[in-house]
Order: sequence, then C-alpha cells, then structure tokens
Amino acid sequence: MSYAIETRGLGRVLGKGFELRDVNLNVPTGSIYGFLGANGSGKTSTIRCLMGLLKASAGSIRVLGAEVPQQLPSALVRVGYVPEKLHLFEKLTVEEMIRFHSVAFEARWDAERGEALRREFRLRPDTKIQRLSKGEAGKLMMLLALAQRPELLILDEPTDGLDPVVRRDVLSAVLDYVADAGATVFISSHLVFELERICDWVGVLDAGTIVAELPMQVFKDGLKRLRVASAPAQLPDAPFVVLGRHTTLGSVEEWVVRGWNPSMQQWFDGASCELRDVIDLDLEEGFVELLRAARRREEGR
Amino acid sequence: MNLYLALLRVQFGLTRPVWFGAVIAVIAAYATPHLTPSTFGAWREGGGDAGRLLSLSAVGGGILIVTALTMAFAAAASWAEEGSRNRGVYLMALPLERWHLAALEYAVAVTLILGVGLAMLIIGGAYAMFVSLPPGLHAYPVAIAVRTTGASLLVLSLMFPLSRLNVGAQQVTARTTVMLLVALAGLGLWVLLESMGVVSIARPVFRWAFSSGGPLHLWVGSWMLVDI
Amino acid sequence: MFDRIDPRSPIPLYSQIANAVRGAVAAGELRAGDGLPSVRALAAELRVNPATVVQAYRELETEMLIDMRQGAGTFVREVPPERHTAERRREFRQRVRQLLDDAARLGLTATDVAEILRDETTRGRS
Repeated sequence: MSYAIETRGLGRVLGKGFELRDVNLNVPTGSIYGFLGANGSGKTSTIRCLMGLLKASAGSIRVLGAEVPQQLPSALVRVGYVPEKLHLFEKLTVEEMIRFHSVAFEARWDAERGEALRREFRLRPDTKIQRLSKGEAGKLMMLLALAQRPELLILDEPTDGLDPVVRRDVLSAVLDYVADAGATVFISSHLVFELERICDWVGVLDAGTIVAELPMQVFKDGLKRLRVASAPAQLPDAPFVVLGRHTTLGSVEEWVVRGWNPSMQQWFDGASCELRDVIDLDLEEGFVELLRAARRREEGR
Repeated sequence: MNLYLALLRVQFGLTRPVWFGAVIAVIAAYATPHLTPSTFGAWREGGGDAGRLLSLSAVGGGILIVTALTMAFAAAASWAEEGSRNRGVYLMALPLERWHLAALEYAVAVTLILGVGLAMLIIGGAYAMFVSLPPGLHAYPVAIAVRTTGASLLVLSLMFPLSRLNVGAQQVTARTTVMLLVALAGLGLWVLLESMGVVSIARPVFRWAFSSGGPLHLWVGSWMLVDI
Repeated sequence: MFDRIDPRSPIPLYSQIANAVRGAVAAGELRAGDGLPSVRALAAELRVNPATVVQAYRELETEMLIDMRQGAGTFVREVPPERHTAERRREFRQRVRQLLDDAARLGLTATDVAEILRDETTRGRS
C-alpha cells in the first residue's frame, strides 16, 4: 500500500508538559482519513508539522512521497490546505484572493471549478474578505484548496463553528471533488459523528500520541458493549481489549471492548462468566471509551 | 501574471497610504522653501542666492529623512506582520522555497521604494523646469532622489532580515521583531536630532560615524546639501 | 429512497445503500431503464465516502440488478418478476432474523415466537 502521508516517530515540544511524541501516521493513498482527537490533543500542531509550518524536533515526515521539510515545495504544490483559522489577506476581495491563489498554483489551477464553486457557495466577487461571515470565509478557503486540483487535501477542523447548512455544503464539495479526482483526504475533527459516514480510515490522537489507527469498518465492527454476568476481577487471557468496565444491575457488568469478533463468544464457554448480550456501539461512543481507556493507562503509569 | 507581480499588487494594496503619503511628502519637501514668506517674493523675481536656498531646504530635507525611514520601516514591517498573523500561514503554505518567498518579498519592497524614487525624479524634474535654480545646483533633483531612495533601501536591507526572524516560529519572536523595529526607529530619531544639533550625546562616536567615509555618512546633515 | 441511511447503524453504509436500491426495485419504485444517481452526486448528497457508493453499486452490479455504463451512467436492469418476489422475501427474512435476535434477548423460545406470530396474523385478518 502506498501512503499519502507517512510519519515516523514525529516529536515536538509544544508547551509546558505538552508535546507530540512518537506520532506514527500512515494515511493510505486514496483514503478519506479521519484524524480524531479532543480539543487540545495536538491535532493542529501535527498538521502544522506536516505542512512545514512547524519544525518537528524528532522523526521523519513524508507527504506525497516528498521529505518534509527538505522537499517541501514539491509536496505543497499538490496539497490543498484549509487551516482552522482564516489565513487569507483580509483586505483583498474574494475575486482578488482567488486571482492571487490561481497565480500561486498556476500549473494546476482549475478556473472552471473555482468559478463553479464560487457560484455554488454564493460568494460575491467584490466582497472584502474581512467582511465575510465565518461560513463564507470557510467556503472561500475550501474553494481555493479544491480549485488547485490537489492530490491530497489537509483539512484542519474545516467545519468547526459553522452552521449545519454550511457544513453540509462544504463537505459535499469535498466529496464531489474526491469522487471526481480520486484525491486523498486527511481531515481532522473533534466532531466524531461528522466523520463517521465519510471516513474509511481513522487515527485517534490523545495528549500528543496516536492511540489507535485502523480502517473505520474494523474500528466500528470491533467495538462492542458486552453484558456479562458473574464477571471475574481479572481477565488475563481475553482475546479482545477491554476498554472499560461498569457494573450495572446485580451481578451484570457492561464491558466496552475493542477488537471483537463473533467467534470470541467461544471464549466465554471456557471462562467462569457468562455472556448475556453483545451491543453495537457507534463511532462516538467508541471514541469516548477509547480516550477514557487511554487516559486511565496514562494515569496508571 | 507571475507571482512577483501578484505579490506586488497585494502588498501595494495593503500599504497604499504609505506610498501615496511618501509622494505627497516629497512634494511638500520641495515646496517648503517656497512657502516661507520671507523668501517667497525673492523667488518670484528669479533672484535668491544658493546659500540661502540650501539653509532653507534643510527643512525639506528633514521631511525626506522621515519619508525614507517610514518607507523602509513600513515595507519591512508589513512582512513582519505577515509572519506573526495567520496570513503568514498562507504565504508559507505556498509551494515555494523559503528563500524564494523571502526574495520575492524583498524584491516587492525594493520595487515599491524605487517607485517612490521614480516619482521623486519626476517631481524634481518638474521643479527644476519651473523654478530657476542658482548656478551649480542643476543636478540637484536627481541627486536628492538617488540619495533618499538609496538611504531608504539601505534601512530596508537592515530591517528586512529582522522582519524575517519570526517566520516559522512562535508569536514571541514577532513581538521581539516589533521591539527591534521600535528601537531602531528611536535610534533613527536620535540621529536626526543629533544632526540638527538639538541633542549632542556621544559626539565623538557620531563624528566618526557620520564623517565622510564613516558608516552612517549617508544620513548626515542637511539632506538637500549634496556634493555636486 | 436513501432517507433511511444511518451512519450510526452497525450495518455497513454500502450495504445500507445497496439495500435501499434493492428495496426500491422490489417495490416497483425503480423500473428497468431508470437511472440511478451518479457516484459523485450520491456521495455528495448523502455525505458519504464516494468509495462507499462505488462498493454498493459494484455489489448490485454483480447481482445483475444494475448496469454501470462507462460515461453514460448507472441504470436499473430488466429483472424477471420472480426475482422481485424473491427479493421481497429475502428482505422480510432479514427483518425476522432481527426480531428473533430480540426475542432471544428477552428470553423467549422459538415456540413462544411462533405462538405470538400466529396470534398476531389471525388478529390482523379478523
């Protein structure tokens, strides 16, 4: 498998007691990769490292096969980037900004798509960027990123703070482009439900480290809530990972597990406890349990 | 249209008041000697002596010093601002080598200052056509334009590397840059006051620095007085 | 037609999309020769990964239910009427299975279920 983004042991101190450490990302070419993490988990800093905006102090980064930062320009020309905050020239009008961007990405610029998106997003050419609403500014950034015909889109919380209608428009535009051009999308968000339907890979970042990276379907299939009667205190040989245990009524416990598959029911035959029920979890519940487990592990250290 | 021209357009648009202000200041510098009531009549008669003209034009020279400094600071500082605000992110995410981006920004700043220099030549040329200059001072408008532009470019070249310090780093460095710019502006003012005789600190040092052949000679004395 | 797509459901999204098309064909909402939305349009509309739509369409194509014509679009194929009946039975069977799972969870035996089913069908007729 080839990777659009590959990092090995990426590290960088970000502040007092907060750092990225040993971040290994493998974003398969052609995938839509959801980069999940709570606010402040280091998602934006990781992305800034990928874009060469922040220098990593350890590890290596490859973006579209190019070493970052040594071969940065040859990667950036093929990357569409939407940062979490507006980064455009505020005093320019929409039209002037589009023109500037089209010059900067001259070789790849798709004027037709740019114009089509401008109409679709209902952005008036003569509006100054500082006068755009948050939603309009988000749309303009997306327009610029998509019309430069990128092979890789790096989107940092592209829909954060936008109203549902705008969120929908922006995501639809991304998916339309992906269907058309077959690009890879690396999208960070703390809005898990939003990524659930579009991503085929997920990476979960917590407190500066990757706690899980796997195909979405595997992640979702493997996450279950088990109802178990007369559970023992220790589970030394369980074939799945128990992320959390809660007692409910009487002797019945609820376990949130990862890496489940139906054949594992047999394990309960040999164990002293009894499996009562297997309940599906959605991504958000699974994500929450995964982070809780990761934090407990961290505290236990 | 290439990226240099696009960047020039953007930068001119963002700092327009500085460049129009500079051109107006140049006109004002040429006009001041003539607006003094005592000399006004004498000029009309086509008389006046070179010495008197030169002493009066020192006032206009002061305006030019301020103009040259302002242009240089504005050109350098506007890029410093790019680095410290989110817009710096935009420029740095463009597919350019860092040195290439810096070279483009520097070239744009130089172009804008040269633009004002060109305007000075035109204004000076017009001035020389309408005012009868005393003998020996005919090359004066050209020399003054070259001198002002040169001084401004010199300051820009000192400021520009400082304005680039913050690129790729944290906001703290941006603040440092602003502090450096302020400190240098203060130094510029000091030099100005010193040369006008208002302040006289560290005279020996300054005498050396501003003497012919000294590193700051470009900034000495009445600007309008040029060796011809 | 695709209203009931639910990303939080454990059924993979591509199966849900394929099921929606199967259901519409079985119910006669979609007839032979009718066009399906393009991958691009459907992905953008449902806000799902285009690859998911492709996977659903591929599955339907192997079942000979639809025809993906390069450049022209995706169309519903001519399907013999028996197949519609078979399809309806298949879909109903799937729901019954879910029902049986629920019954097991409630601790009901197969006899209990059969009894309830008989009760309900006679009551519905009377």
